[in-house]
Formats: sequence, C-alpha cells, structure tokens
Amino acid sequence: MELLICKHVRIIGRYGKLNDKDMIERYIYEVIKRVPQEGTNTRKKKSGNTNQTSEIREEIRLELASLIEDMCDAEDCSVEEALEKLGAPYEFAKRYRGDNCYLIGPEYYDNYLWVLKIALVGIGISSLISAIVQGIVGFGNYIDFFIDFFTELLVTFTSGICSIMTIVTIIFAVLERQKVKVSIKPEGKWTVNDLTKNIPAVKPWSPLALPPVPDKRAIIKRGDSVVSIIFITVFMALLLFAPQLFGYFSYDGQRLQSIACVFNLTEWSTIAPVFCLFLFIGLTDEIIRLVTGYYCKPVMYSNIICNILQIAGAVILFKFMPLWNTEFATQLLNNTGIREFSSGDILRFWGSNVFDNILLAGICAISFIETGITIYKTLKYT
Amino acid sequence: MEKDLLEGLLSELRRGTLVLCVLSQLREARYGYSLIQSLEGKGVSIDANTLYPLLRRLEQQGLLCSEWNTEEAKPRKYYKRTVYGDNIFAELVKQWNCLSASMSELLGGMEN
Repeated sequence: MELLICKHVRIIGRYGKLNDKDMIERYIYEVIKRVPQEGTNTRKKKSGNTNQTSEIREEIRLELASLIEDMCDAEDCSVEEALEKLGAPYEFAKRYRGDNCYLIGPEYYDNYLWVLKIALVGIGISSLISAIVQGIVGFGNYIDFFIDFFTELLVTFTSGICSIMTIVTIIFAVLERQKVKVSIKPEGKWTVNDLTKNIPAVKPWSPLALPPVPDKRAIIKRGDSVVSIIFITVFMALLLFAPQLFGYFSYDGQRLQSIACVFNLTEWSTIAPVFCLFLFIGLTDEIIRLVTGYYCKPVMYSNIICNILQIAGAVILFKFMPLWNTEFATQLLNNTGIREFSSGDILRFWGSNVFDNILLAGICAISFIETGITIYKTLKYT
Repeated sequence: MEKDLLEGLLSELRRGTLVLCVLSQLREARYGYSLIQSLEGKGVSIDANTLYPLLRRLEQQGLLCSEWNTEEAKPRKYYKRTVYGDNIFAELVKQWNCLSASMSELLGGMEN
C-alpha cells in the first residue's frame, strides 16, 4: 500500500535524512513493535465476505497509516506535525497494551510485601546464625571475633537479601501472569467494564452472590506457612552461604573447630543451585498456601505438583549427585574417639544406598502425608 | 501546581465518559479519524492515541464489530456497535441520565 504522497523530503533526523514515508514507517514500526504479537483478528472485506486471519500488528499498521494520512489531509499539516500530535510511539503502544504494564499488580502487592518481610526475617536469622558460628569458629580474641562476625553478617545479609528478593519477586510475577486467585474475598469491585464481560448486562449486587465463607477446617493457618517460609529461607540461605555449618564441630577448650561437614563441599558449586531449586519449589508452594489462605483446588494442584517435583529433586540429589561427604562418618569416628556407631545409628549406613533410601523414604512419607491431607481437606471442605 | 491538579481531575472526569461518547457515535459505521472529527464537532476532544486502542478494546469486548473497506484509495477499518453493544449502550445511557440528574441535584445552586 502506498502510505502517503511524499510532500516533504527535507528533515534531517537523528539517523539521517528522512522523507515523509520513512518517518511514517518508522513511527508505525516503533508503535507496533511494542504491541503484543499474539492474537488474531478477523478482517472482512466489504467487497467480498472473505474472512482473513491477520496479525494484530498488521491491522494496527494499516490503521495508523490511514490515520496519519487522514490527519495530514484534513488538518493540512505536515507528517511531522501529525506525528507530534499523536505523541511518542511508546506512549501510543502502551495504550494498546492496556494496563498490564507492571510486574506485580495491586491485587498481589500487599501479599508480596508481606512475604518479602517474612523472607527478610528468615535471611536475618540465617545471617545471624552464620555470622555467630563464623565468629566462634575463628575465635582467637574478641577483636577477631567481631571482625569475623560483622564481615560475615554483612556479606551474608547483603547477598541473601538480593537472592530472596529475586526469588520472591519471580514467584509473584508468575502468579500475576497466571492470575492465580490469591485471597478470600468477594467478587471484585463492580465497574462499568464488567458490563461488557460475558455476564448479563445488568447484574445488581446481591448478598446472595457472596461466595461462601470457607469451612473453618479448610483455613490454612498463616502461622504455619510463615514458619515454613522462614525455615525454608533460613535453610536456603545457609546452604548457599554457609554450608560448612552443617557438620560436626568440636570445642577444644579454646576455640570451636569445624571437624567434618556432611556435604561434599568440593562439588558444592554444582550441588547448591540444584538443592536451592527444589527448596524454591517448596517456597512457591508455601507462598501459594499463605496468600490463598484456605484449601482449594489451586492449593491442591500446587501442592501435588510441588511435592512430585520435590521428590524427583530428592532422587536426583541423593542418587545422581555427589551430595554427601563420604568421609563424614570416618572423620567423625577419628575425631570423637568413638570406636564404632551403634547398630541402630543411621550414621552406620553413611555413604551407602541404605542411608539414601532411608532419607528418601522419609521425604516421600512426609510428602504423601502432606498431599493426602491437602487433597482430603480440599475435597471435603470446599 | 493547582493547574496540574485541576487538569488531572478534569482528565479523570472526562476519561470516564469516553466509552459512552464513542459508543454514542457508532450506531452507523465509522472509521477512527472520522469519529475523532465527529466528536470534536460536538465539543468532545479525544486524542487518536486514546481512541484507537479504545476502539480495539471495545471490539475485543464484543461491543463493536469492524469491517475493512478496501474499495476506496485508502483501506479503512470501520467500526459499528453490535447488538450486544446496543444493549450495553442503552443501559449506560440510562445510568448516565440517572447520574446526570443526581449531579444536577447535588450541584444545583452551587455555581459559586
């Protein structure tokens, strides 16, 4: 299509000489590149009744082209003036995109801030634990203790805050995109726009339209979720920043010494991200429970999926990754004076398949019980 | 500062009436720019960068339907109210009249 008869070929733009046609094409391109590409529309030609599926962008391109031409003709203005009147292309495109231009919208914002605060408490606790232990392990005198303590606190807390803010933000951004219903509340506030949805044109609010209050037995206690979120956050932060704390320490009367770590620290840079990924899945599940507030289908599906993924994660970690320090049991025996572990001691099976299988069985049992309770309460009380 | 505040409030006030303004003009099919002119002729100013996305949204919501006319020199997209749009429009007009009467009642004698 011929966009416009080129009346003015004189403007020197930032990227070289521009004629009117170039200017229009550039303007339209700048608009439509910011408009979501997906979606189709039906274009009918008056002359025929041919239905054609065309991209939204192509339709907008044609509409804008004729609009600019119309403006120039009717208002007897130059292309440049018409485009200035239309405003910046990114502003134009923003209106096409509607109001979904935020990462976390008002519906989720309060819960987002709330979870962030809880997670920050978790990071604070883990940083403090890590710093205290670090200070004690390297204890020589009080000056060294305080230097170690504050250095560790600063490093762990700063990196922890960055990590947890990213993780929580990603989770809520996904919830926002997927529009997971997150709170117990009646239908949203009525607006004129509601008239245009696929509901009767006039639907006066009535108390009868109020959704039922969830059964008390279906309510998920916020305290439970908060404890779980803090626990997972602390655990995740310690795994990332102080895995050496998971081990055996001895005090020789003067200083605390790290004797043996349960984890394989030489491979930790590979293991830690995988470990944290599965904790992240657990964290997502807890956040969904917390913000939803009661047992319902989304909570049930989330719990089933997350627990399946976590069991799969446990299998990967225990069976396919060098998670454990295989020398831990030996190092423990050598440094504690114990000759051998008693027959019922789980450490007797350290490094063997039996040990991994016992842990896996425990994780599976906990997951099954949790999922079973969730399914039961969801189906029975909602 | 006061001017900005006033402009913001006026813009908010006008924004709420735009859907009704646009629907009122689309009993017969019109293309975007002719709609701008028609509204301006009746004292309602609307920017193209507001109107075109609004037309698309109303079409997606089923209030308007559109047809491309490619018979003339320029291909143009003509918008028109659907039957559903007619119903909604009638309801909006009814609400507007109620609102207008209430506002007149509220503001009567408050010119100063």
